[in-house]
Formats: sequence, C-alpha cells, structure tokens
Amino acid sequence: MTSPPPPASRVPPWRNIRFLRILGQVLAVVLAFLVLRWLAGNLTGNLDRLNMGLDFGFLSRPTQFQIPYRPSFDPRSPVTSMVLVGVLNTFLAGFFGILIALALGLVVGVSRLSANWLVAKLATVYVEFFRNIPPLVIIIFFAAALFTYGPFPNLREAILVGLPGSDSKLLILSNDQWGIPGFTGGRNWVAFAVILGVGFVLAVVVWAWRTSVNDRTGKPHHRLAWFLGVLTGIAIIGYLALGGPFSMSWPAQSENRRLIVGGFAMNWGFMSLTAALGLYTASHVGEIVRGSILAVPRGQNEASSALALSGFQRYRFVVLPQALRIAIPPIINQCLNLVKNTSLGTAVAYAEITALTQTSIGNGRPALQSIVVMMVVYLAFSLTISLLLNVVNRRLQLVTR
Amino acid sequence: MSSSESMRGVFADATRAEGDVIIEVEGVDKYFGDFQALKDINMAVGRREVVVVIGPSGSGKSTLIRCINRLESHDRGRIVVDDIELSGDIRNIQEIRRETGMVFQSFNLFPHLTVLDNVTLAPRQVRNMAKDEAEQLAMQQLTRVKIPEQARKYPGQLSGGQQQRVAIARALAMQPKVMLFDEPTSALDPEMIKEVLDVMIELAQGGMTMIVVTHEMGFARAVANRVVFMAEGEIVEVGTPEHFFTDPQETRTKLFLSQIL
Amino acid sequence: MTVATPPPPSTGLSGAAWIRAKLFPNIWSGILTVVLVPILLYLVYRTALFVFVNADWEAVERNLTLFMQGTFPRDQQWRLVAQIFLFALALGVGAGTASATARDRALQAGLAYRPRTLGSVLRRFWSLIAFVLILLYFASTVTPWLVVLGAVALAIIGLQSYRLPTSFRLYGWLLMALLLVAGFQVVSGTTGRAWLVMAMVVGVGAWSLTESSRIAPGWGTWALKTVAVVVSTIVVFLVYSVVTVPGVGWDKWSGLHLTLWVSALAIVLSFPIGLFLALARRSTLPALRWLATTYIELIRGVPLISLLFLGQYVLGFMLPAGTTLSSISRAIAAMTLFTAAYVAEIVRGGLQSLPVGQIEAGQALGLSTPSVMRLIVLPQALRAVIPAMVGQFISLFKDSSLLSIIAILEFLGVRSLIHAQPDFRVTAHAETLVFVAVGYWAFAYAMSRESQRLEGRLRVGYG
Repeated sequence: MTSPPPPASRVPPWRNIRFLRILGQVLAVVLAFLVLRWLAGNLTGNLDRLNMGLDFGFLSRPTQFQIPYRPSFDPRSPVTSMVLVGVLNTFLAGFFGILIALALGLVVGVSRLSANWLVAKLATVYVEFFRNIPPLVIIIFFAAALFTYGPFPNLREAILVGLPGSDSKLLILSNDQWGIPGFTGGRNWVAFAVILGVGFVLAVVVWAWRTSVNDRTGKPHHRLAWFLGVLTGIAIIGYLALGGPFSMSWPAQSENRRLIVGGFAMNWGFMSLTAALGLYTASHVGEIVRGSILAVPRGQNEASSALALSGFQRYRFVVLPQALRIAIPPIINQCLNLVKNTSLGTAVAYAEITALTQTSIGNGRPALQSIVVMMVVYLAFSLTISLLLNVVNRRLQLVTR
Repeated sequence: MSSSESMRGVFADATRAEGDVIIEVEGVDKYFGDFQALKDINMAVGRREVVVVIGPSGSGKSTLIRCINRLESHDRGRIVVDDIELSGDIRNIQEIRRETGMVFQSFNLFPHLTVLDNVTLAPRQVRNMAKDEAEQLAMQQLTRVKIPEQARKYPGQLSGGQQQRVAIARALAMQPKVMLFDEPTSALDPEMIKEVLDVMIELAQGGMTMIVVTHEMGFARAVANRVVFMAEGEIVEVGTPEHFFTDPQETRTKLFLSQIL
Repeated sequence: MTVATPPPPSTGLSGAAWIRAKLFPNIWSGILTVVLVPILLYLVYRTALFVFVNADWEAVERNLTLFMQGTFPRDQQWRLVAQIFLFALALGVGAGTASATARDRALQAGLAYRPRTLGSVLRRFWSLIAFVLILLYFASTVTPWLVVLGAVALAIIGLQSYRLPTSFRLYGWLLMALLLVAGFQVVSGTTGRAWLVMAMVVGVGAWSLTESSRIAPGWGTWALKTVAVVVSTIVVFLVYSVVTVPGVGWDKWSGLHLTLWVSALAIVLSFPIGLFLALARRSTLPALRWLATTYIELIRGVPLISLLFLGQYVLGFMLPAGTTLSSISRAIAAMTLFTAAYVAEIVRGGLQSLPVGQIEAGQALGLSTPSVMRLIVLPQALRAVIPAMVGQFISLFKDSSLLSIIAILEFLGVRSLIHAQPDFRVTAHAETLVFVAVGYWAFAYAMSRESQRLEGRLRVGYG
C-alpha cells in the first residue's frame, strides 16, 4: 500500500484558475448591480422631485374613461376592471388569430409541397409576400380597405342579412361593426357546462376503451366516431334535460343605431387585427410546416414504401408524427409572437391591454406603473404558452439512449 | 503480485534502462459526481518510453491521460509532469500543456483555418514565434507526417487519415516532451489506420515519450515498452507486450484480450 | 472512326406534357387547377386595374421626398446624396475585397472559384432594383436619376479593389470602414465626439497594419503598435478639430432614411450587449447566469411596443435630472435593448453548436482561455450565426414600423403627414399604403434571400 499522498502545494490566488474565473464573474455581477442601483437612484430621485410616487395605488381608483365598443363598462369602476377588459380582449384576438394562423398555415405549408405546380407556386407567393411585410402595415391595410374607406355603409344603414322565416337578422355588416349570431346563457347554464365537462371525460374514457379493443382484437376502433358520438349525445341530452340552458341570440341594431345588441358583435379593430395577424402568422407557420415535413429523413419515405404502406398511411403513421415533433416548438413560438403582436391593436383602436394602457397614461395615470402592469400581462401570457411548450415537448420527445 | 507492485517492479527496470521519470502519477482518484472514474492510480513514465494503455470502454483510460494535461482535474493524489506539479495553478497548467501534446480521437482540427494555420497557431500564440519562422517549422512537421502538399487546404477537404496526421503535426509543432494519444485511430476507416500508425511508429522510434490509449495491439507489439491494462477505473495489470500476448495473469485481462485479439 | 454516343434522352417536360404533369397530376389536383385559374386571373386583372388605371398615384408622386427623407431640411439634401455616394463606394470596395479574399482562399486550397456575374447579382437583388425603378418613375426631377447613376458608377469603381494584390486586402477593409463612418458623419456632422468613432476605426486599422511576418511578437512590436494607434488617434483628432462641420443629427431624420438607420444602429449596438449576455448566460457563476437569464426571458416575453413606451415615458426618469434625450434616441435605445436579448439567444445557440473538442484542442495546445475564445470559439460560432443575425435584422427592419405608433415619422409614419395635407385627407390612403408595403417588401425580400443563400453556403463548408 502506498502512503497517503502529500497535500497539494498552495497556489497564489492570482494564478489559481478557479479563483480567477469566479473573480471575473463576481466583478460582472457587481458592475450590473451598480448600474441598476444608479438607474433606480435616478428614478426615485426624479420622481420625488416631481412629487410622483412609485406605488400601485392607482389600480384601485376609478378608470374615468370609456372603453370603445363596450357600453357595459362603467368609467367609475377601478382600473383593475379596465385591465381585465384589456386582458380579455388580448386573449380574444390572440385566440382567434392563432386559430386562423394554424388552420391557414397548415394548408399553406402542405400546399407548398403539392405536386400541383400552380398550388405550390401560389402558396410560395403567399408566404414570401406576407413574411416580408410588417404586420402593422397589414393591419392598417385591412382596417382601411375593409372598414374605414371600405365598401360597407354606416351602422345606421348597415347591410342586414335576414334569417329566412323570421324577423331576426343573421348578419349585420357595417363599416365599424359586424354582428353575427351568438349565444346567451339562460337558466342552468352552469349545470350545462358541468354536464359538458363530465361528457368530455366520458368521451375520453370511451376513446381509451376503443383503443384497447383494437389492441386486443384488431377490430377497427372508430374511436374518433365514438368520441364525437358520446360527446354530442351527452350534450344533446343535457340540453333537453335542462330545458334550454342557452339560446341563440341574434344581432340587432340598438335603438339609437349606434351599436349592435345581441349576438356577437365584432368591432372593426378586432376584425382587422385578428384577420391581419392570422394571415401574417400563417405565412410563418406555413414555412415551419413545410420545413418540418422536409426535415423528416428521406430514408423514412423509402422504408415506408418498402413496407408497402400507401401514401396516406405513410403520411399518417410515419411522416406527420415525426414532422410534428420538429414543428411544435417553433409553432408555439409563433403563437407567442402573435399574442405579442396583438399589442398593435393600438393602431386600430382595439381595446386590448396596450391600447388601454396608452389611453390610461394619456389620461394621467402613472406611466411606469401602468407599463409594468402591461408587461406583467404579456409575461403571464408568454409564460403560460412557454409552459405549454415545455409540457408538449416533453411528451413528444423521442426516447434516445 | 498486486498491480502496483508488479508495476513498480517493471517500472524499476524501465527507469534504469531509459532514463529518469518524466511523468509521475501518485494515488490519483477522480470522481464524476458519485461515480469514481479513477481509483488509486499509480504510474510512472520514463523519458523515451512508449506506454500503451488498453482496456474496455469506461475503464478510465481516456480520463487518465486527460488528467495529465488537465483537461480533467484529479480529485485526490499527485500528478507531476517534468518536475512541474499539476494543480489549480494556471502557470503550472499552461507550462505542462506546452510540454505535452495531445492527439484526439475526433481530430479536433480547426475547420475555419487552413492546415498550415492549424499547425502554426500554437507556436505563434503561445511561443510567440514570428509568422515566417512558424510556417517553416510547420512545414517541417507536415513533411514529417508526410503531407506537406496539403498545407493550404482546409481540414474539410482532407480524408480522416490525413486529418489525424495534421493533428499529430499540430501537436508536434509545439515540440513537446510527451505526446498523449487518446484512441487516435478509433474514428478512422480501416484503410486509413495504417498511415497514422506508421507515423506514430516513426515517432516512437525517434525517441518520443508517448502514452497511447488504443486497441491496436499490433502497434503495441511493434514499439511499446510497456502495456498497461485498466478496467473499472484501476490499473489491473502491467507488463511488456509479449507478457500480455503469451501469459496474461488476471482474469479480467484474459477476458478483455479474448475479445479483442 | 469513333462512334458518337447518342445523347441521353431529355428528361425535361415541355409544353402539353408539362401542363399535364404539373397541373393535372391527378383528378383532385386537376379540379383544383380548374377552379383556381379563373380566380387567379380575376385577381390579377383587378390588381392590374387598380395599379395602372384606377389608382391615383399623385399622393406618392408629390410626396416622394417625404417618403424617402421625411422632414430632412431641404437645403441640406446634398448630405444625403453624399451619404448615398459614399455608401455606394464602400459597398463596391467591400464586395470587391470580399470576393478577392474568397478567390485567394479558394485558389490556395485548390478549389474552383466562380466569380459572380452581373446577371447573378441582378437576379439576387431584383426586388431592390425594381423598387428603385419605381422610385425613378415617380420622380419629378432629374436629380434622382443622377443620384442613382452616380451611385452605380461609384460602386463599380469600388469593385476595382478586386484587382488589388493580396497584401492590400487589409487596406481594402479599412477603406470600407472609413467610408462607412464618413458616410454616417457627412449627415450627422463632424462636431462633438464624432472624432472618437473615426479614431476607433483608424486605430483598429493602424493596429492591424503594423505587423510583419518576419518579426516575432514581443515587447518591441507591442510598443510599435501602441505608438501607431496613438499617432493615428492624434492625427484624427487634429483633422476633426479643423474640419468642424455641424450636421443634421439623427433627431431630425425621418422617412425611409430613418427606418434604415434605426434598424442598422439598433443591430450594431445590440451586438456587444447580446454577446455579453450570451456569455453571461453560460457562466458558471449562478448570480451572473440568473441576471442574464432574467433579462433575456423578460425582454422576450413582452412586445417591442412596451419597451418603446418605457423609452418614451420612463427613460427620462432613469437618467440624472436635466438630461434630455430626443424621441428618436429613446426609440433607438429601446430597440437596442430589445434586440440584444434576441441576439443573445442567437449567439448562445452558436456557442452551443460548437463541438467541445475544439476548446479542448486549443487548451491542449497551451492556448490561454482568452486566446481560445478569440481564435477558435468566436470565429466559428459567429460565422455560424450569420444567417440568424440577418434574420434578426429583417425582423428589426419590419418592427421599426412600430415607431409610427409613438409618433415618430419613419417610413410608415410619414403617411400621417401626407394625409394631413388638405388634398389627401380622405383619398389615396390605399395608394400610400401600397407604396409603403412595396418598399418594405422589396428590402425584406432581398435580405431574406441573401440570408437563405448564406445559410446554404455556410453549410457546405468553409473556404
């Protein structure tokens, strides 16, 4: 046995690797801290001088301005209500924008790979056109071309598309609002929502059951049909049993013909923003879809053909699952971008959170705090979407050694 | 005989024959987290000696030579290279790295530089040589590894065997006292292994001190003074190449040799 | 007598066979074609009708200057012309030097080198050329024609640097840098701290040029280099103290001119910050890593407009009392800080993509950590991220349109000026918007094609 090794000799600090590395980084941190402290010092100093505070008390005080196209909003309600309206509007524009972007983007992406030259070329033109124009320009164009200087008349003389066989209107088209049919909750709509939820869970169970039947016996599972059938069946039963928990509501012009009551009223800002962002983001999604399908190694196609899988089967079982894994992270990134781009609603007077913040500051609310609130809202959206990305990514990861 | 005793015995012969000790490894342990990669390694390498280290993957042989030029840091024990002790001291580390040359399994040539620039980089930056002088030295080394005509090409244009020879020239340009080889031929196509081994054999016959981690037993037979067999982080058996081929002692050694010979 | 081998059967389709294969490969596709073609023809017809017949392009024609340079003082317009000329020359010199470097490398490495032809260049930048032609069409005087011709001539002159021998390569780059700085300062003026920027460029040039391949680097060469830098700095300072020409600061720039400059300044200024953030995010010290990560994730989670608001309303409070910053300076600061977070992620990706063996090889050779960074890591990592950086610049260029929301008159924003004129209060909104869209599209399209081309070239290999 050898004797225990002698202790290592002492290394002077200025030559010690570990010490120097840490020293460099500590200096960077200290520098960053000093800069932040200087900025914060200036900030508090200047605010004190001008007798402005750094508190968030303004949130509980009344808003004191009207929100366009939202007559139910009381200007005396606190600023927090205004923020909630902004969040809701941001969510609406983001949600429908993402729907349009995903649907259209999928079509465009697949079209770019079509065997039909015309279809492929059109999709390419679409992508190259929309990708290289600022979204703000597209939004303003939609707003100007469809609404402000567009073909639709004033709300007073709006185009009314009637529902055959009744007095109600199906569509109201004007140059600042459109009305489409909507739903209003009657009695028991909460109970109905609960029943829908239970029905959804049941449908998922049926889905799993049919899958296991297919695994065991090889009989076709038709699980999608079963899923939809169970869900629709329970929805209908619930509807009838509760005696109409909700009903269709038709749009109509209000008495002074300035607003649309009933139904689902969409104002021009919302429509321009959502349509423009949907089209713009779809071009990016299309590129991602195309790239992800092309990224699936060619050997996969060849192996599938060698196994006698049909083209459709090859897409469904081999190509698309792999393409999806590649595509989902950048697509979710695009969804995030779309939500952030809803901030352009200020340019078309759509009352999402950025527009409301700008109005609020214009009305004298403290700027820094208002902007901080606005940034917190977007951060919340971003975090939620990123979390979704992480969860989905983890489920989809290919198992490797 | 236990591993360390047998090693010391053989080593004792080697030192008297070849000259004094240039690398000394005493009681070295190395941990990766909870996993112990090196267990009480004791080894001494004499000048002009060629030591071949063999063993199954995960045995710690790469870790051992990477500890010698501080690409990994050992947790316990002492490593002394050419009378310089390896520790957290930057100056020592730099000096040891100047005196040792390393050739990697994946070549690690710099793809954005020409072959010539790859070889002259270290002499110019570390030894502060003038550009012309460094290029002269580089061409000498490239001629030594038999590819002087590739000097202005980029690594991406060369075959694997050529790239590895450039890597050897790059290490030699620093005129090191010890050359460390980490599985130099494992990433090569079979037809290119010979050209690299020939260069290494020439190097050994020229008197370079070399520690080579490899599976190429033919090389060991040709020029190795000693073969060291490692498994599971410790030195299991040490001896001359003939000893390994004719009369391996330990069970683990016999098992390993039966798999590769 | 040799028998000529018959030519291989041509595989290209033409005429009717092509239509059959490409437009009617199967029944569904055929139906699609039949449905789409009339719709397409109708759309093309309506667009052509709008563009050539119905539209009233007077708004664009009369306000062309507003679109291009905004409210830049008319009597100082010569500065803009000088800027265009200097940049054209710099572009020529840069392109020539770059081509010559590529040619030298290829020849030395024994690779084939195909010099770029005029045709290929025209094809690459056709959208920009088309846009310039549209501008010339709307121009009412002959000046724009002269400017364009002059610029093209100067670019061609600059391209002659291609013929310079290899030892002059460094001079070529230095000249391009000097021309770029001069081009900026011919508009912004040579007063104040302008000399500092020029001194930095000249200093870097002096440092690089005082080199010899025969003399070993040592105290002597370092002293010589320092002397060269000091001397050149003094010379620059003296020149600038004589040539004091006040210019038009960027506070007064607007129109397309401002759009281009805001994007360029933001990307250039954000690069060192982004590099620092990327390195910090990879550091082993938790505090530094946390700070960098927080900054990056925060900025990437909020829209640019929120930072522009911060710049507008809050930045003033964060500076010592009494300092005033113009609206445009705030906007540039906000855009720089915004872009830095994205640049950090791009650079971080580049650093991560580098095989760790590269660093180990450098260390094994005895190179110090800063040297490994400077000679091995950064050259490879930064080269790898060039396509992504160009993509970021394109995003920045498009995002500059947001400045119109905070009432800065860049390319999109000048429309508010135009439609405030009594003649165009309610008319010509579509026309001006289409013009703006075409302008953005021409630049962004050309840049994105370049980025794709670079990406393809970088993947093939170095050299």
